[in-house]
Amino acid sequence: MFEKDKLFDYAFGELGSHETQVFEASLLKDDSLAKEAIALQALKADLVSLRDIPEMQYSKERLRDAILGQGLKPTKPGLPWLNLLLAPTAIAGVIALGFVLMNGTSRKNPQVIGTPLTALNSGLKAPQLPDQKITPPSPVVAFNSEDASGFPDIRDTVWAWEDPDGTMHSSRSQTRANHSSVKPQVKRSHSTPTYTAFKTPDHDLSHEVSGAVTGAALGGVGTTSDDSSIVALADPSKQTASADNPMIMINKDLDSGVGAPVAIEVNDSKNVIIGG
Amino acid sequence: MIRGLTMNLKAAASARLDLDSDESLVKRAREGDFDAFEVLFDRHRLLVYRFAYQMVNKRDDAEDMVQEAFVRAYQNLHRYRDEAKFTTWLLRIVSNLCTDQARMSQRRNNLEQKEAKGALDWMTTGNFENPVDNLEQDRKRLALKKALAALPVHHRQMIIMRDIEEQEYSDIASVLGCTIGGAKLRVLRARRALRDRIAPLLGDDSNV
Repeated sequence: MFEKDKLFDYAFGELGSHETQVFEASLLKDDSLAKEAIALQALKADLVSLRDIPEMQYSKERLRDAILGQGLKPTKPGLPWLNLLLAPTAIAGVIALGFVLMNGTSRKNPQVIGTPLTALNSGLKAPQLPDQKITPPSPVVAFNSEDASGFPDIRDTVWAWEDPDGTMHSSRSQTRANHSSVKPQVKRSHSTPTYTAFKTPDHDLSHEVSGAVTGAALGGVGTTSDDSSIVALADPSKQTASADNPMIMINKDLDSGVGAPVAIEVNDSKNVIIGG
Repeated sequence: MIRGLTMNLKAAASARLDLDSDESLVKRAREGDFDAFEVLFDRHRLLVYRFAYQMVNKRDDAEDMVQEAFVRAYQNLHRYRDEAKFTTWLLRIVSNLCTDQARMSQRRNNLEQKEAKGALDWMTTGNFENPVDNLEQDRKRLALKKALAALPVHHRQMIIMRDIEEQEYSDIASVLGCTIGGAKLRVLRARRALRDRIAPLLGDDSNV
């Protein structure tokens, strides 16, 4: 390997006079090495012959046009102290921007862990009633807080359930009959009590509330769930209730004694909005 | 009379500029004296052109590279440090340009253009008195050009700087930004690579 390196240096004229003499002496002893040295010397000569190149035609005037024609000027050196001042500021800015972007990204895609309805019903337990079917999800009822005097006249609490054979049962209590103890609710759905209209053996309210309560909401109880409910929903005259024909609504809260949802009888539905 | 005096004064100023060192000319050019920069251009344009031509093997491309190199030099005069020679700095600029250009042209060059150029070289070079010798010389020359063009850019630059333009190792080291020993090592590697590439092109009759 050392000899090969020397061979290149010898052929390309890199060796000093003394080294050249020593190497030529070694070449006399090795024919293949000598042959290779001659070939490399020829290569070197060929490379030198490549120096002949066409004459350059690029003129000073063309350079002047290129530089001055474009309005170029030699740029001034920058201010190093300014760079030292700006660099930390720029780094801090980039970090702050990255922090803001990362924060914004995490807020853009919140993880949905449940719908408001499921969250609303998550506290519900199935009432411990004999042979009861599935309790329908409660539609939300909001009261008009602007008219506190028109707050529904809550007199009775009615418990309602259905037997497997479709017979409806109900029981009534006076636990929430005191009007003064009930405060008017704000009309936001998640801050208001939720009620479900039911058909009881005594009061068939399907014609009043079917428009307000969807078939899905009433499905388990067996009131009408036909398409006419959609028409009734748009007709507020069908949502009225009176002392003779009260509206019964079922709260999502469970009664501590019975374990079933609390139902409330309403005589005036003027300020009642029923929705899902 | 006055016109003649003015012309003499201009000629004297130009002669004084020509005698100035590169460093002082650079200093004047930095201050906006474009005549000083033109003297620098006149002084070193052939060096830049030769290197560029050997790299790209086309006169037009080489001249474009000369222009680009001097425009860049003019715009970056403030970056030039007096501890290095101006020619070294210029060669570094043109070397970087050649590297960029070689990368781009490597993609678009096709074999037909090379063959056509080779045929033209065969027709236009050589001595008419010894056509057989000319043929052999041209064959070798063509093989060498092909081998050189096929070398990686960093090897080609070494061969051009040292073996064709015969630059000193100290200058090569300055251009490369390495030691003289490092420059020698790179030149040796480039020569080996060239030898390995040219041997198959020349055939079995050559031991190269």
